[in-house]
Amino acid sequence: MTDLIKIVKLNKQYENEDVVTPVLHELSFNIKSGEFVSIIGPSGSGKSTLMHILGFLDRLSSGEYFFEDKDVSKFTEDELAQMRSQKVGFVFQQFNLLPKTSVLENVKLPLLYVDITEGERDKRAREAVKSVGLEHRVNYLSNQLSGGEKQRVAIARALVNNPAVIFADEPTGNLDSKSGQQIMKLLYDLNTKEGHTVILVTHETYTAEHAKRILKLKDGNLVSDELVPEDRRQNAISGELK
Amino acid sequence: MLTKDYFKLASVSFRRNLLRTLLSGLGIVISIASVIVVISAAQGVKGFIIGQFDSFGSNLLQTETRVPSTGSINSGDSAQAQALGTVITTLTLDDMLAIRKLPNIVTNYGYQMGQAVATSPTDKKTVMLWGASATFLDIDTGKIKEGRFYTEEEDASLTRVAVLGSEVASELFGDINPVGQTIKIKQKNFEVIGVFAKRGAALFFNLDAVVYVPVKTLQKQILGTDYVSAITSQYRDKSKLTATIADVQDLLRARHNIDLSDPDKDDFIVTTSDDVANILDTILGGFTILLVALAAISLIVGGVGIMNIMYVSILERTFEIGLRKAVGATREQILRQFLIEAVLVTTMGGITGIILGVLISLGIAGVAKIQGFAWSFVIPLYSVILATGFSIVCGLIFGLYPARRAAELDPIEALRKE
Repeated sequence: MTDLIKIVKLNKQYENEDVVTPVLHELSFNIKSGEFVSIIGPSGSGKSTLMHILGFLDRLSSGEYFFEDKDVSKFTEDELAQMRSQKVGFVFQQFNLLPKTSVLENVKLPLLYVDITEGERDKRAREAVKSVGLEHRVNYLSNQLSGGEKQRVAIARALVNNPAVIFADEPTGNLDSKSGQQIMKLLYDLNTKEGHTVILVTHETYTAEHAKRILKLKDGNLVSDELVPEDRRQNAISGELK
Repeated sequence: MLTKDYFKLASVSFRRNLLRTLLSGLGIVISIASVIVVISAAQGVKGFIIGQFDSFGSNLLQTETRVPSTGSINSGDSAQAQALGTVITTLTLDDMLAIRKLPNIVTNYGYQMGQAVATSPTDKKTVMLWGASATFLDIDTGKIKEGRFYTEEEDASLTRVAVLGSEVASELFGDINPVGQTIKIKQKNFEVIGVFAKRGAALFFNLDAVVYVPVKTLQKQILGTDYVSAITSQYRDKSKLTATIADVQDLLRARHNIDLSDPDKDDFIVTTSDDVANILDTILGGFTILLVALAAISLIVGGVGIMNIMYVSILERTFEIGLRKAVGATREQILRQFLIEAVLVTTMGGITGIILGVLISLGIAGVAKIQGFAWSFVIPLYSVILATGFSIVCGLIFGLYPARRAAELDPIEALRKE
């Protein structure tokens, strides 16, 4: 299996009026297609920034980033937009659904920026809604849904472009434990049953253990890169430790 | 992203913010409506005035007296000199007959005017006394309602006959038929032989308050002069007009012994209805440009209004824009989305403004007609094209800044604004 993502000595710093704030320091790692990786660390460790860079929402300051063997660090804004459109799907802690807009229209949103027919958009969006088990809610408005349902819609939206990788940034952070468990089960199934590559950002060890592998960040440094023991993973999935 | 997708997005956005959309387009509606009304009204005024000229007959060549330049003052002072009492007495009925013999001249009439009190057995009225040759009606469009106009013989023999304008007839004689009655002008009796049908005002000159008498009768019996103030000639072929004007000038210069090398010495001036129409075009064109410029300023104000409202709308929709960018929208796609929204608002505003402007112009024409003006309702195609073009350009110009702001938003920052 080839590397989907290859990071070499990645640095990120924010510069504001001569004040340089380092955020990520000399990170190097690879992620293969089909993996389920958690990026874990306390707040301020740089995990969200890392996810933004990996998801083409932000740029690295130095180092190299290869996605499917292409050096994306030199990509233009428009090329990055195209990568977001075709290669990645995002699931956010705040759900980030369009208010007063139907489930179907929300899921369709990424397809608007892809040149396919309206009929094809409709078909794909309905399939994505079905894959997260919300076909009975397809015409509901986003604000009529529960938190768990909103996050399912967000996952359907992330899936609709059939992306190479799904990024989930604290997807359970705004949910009760039961809904959170269901969302994690859904992400787990997308990885194990459908073969989707999933990169999860979280500060909770327990949530992170749904993944096969955990990258731990601290103060912008990669402090560990370990596989999750299978028994701990099964515990997380069955929800026994909760 | 397809063009129809942008229109769909815009229509969703308009429905969500209906009142805001309507308010932002209002300025454009008003300014476009004013552009349409101004241009249509100018056309109406022009048509009205040209129509007034036509009531004096068509293909007219006017020869009027003029105070020759003395060399020390410029020729533009002729009107001033005449107003101050300088009377040119060189233009005569013999000149008229000479002009009539020129090629391309159908016929002509000379005239002299004066004001006088006309008295009937029952009433009296101050009237415009118009002494004209008997050929007057061969050119003028006035219609005789009762009786007849006077003849060449009556003019030549200084017969005291008069033809009344309709207003004079009704004021002096009421319901009685004035034909065969006698009126008194300057202590002299005139037999009324005809009455004109009602004509209305022409060029701020009330043709119904005129008493027409033979020009020679007026000259010899009342004024004691032998000159005329103007000669109105009708030409046959418009393509030969320039040559005809030159013929008239040469003829009169020869007859009046004027130095051919110096046009400033002319004691007459030849004009055509085309000259008048051209002057009118210049004046109305100037007014139209001025008013359209004022309307254009209101268009800019309307555009700035749209810019403001779009700017606020983009601040409100920061999250939506961030989300669109996060799921793959390019800067150009965001730019287009907002630019198309702006252009749609201004174009719809423009179309509404055109409809409103047409309705107002129609109303103005209707009122003018009720008031008795021969006003025609015209909406020139160019004004509609101009208005539509203005609205589209206005949307592009004033939508560009906010749309660019939207396109440049950083998706991560924008997503925090939910």
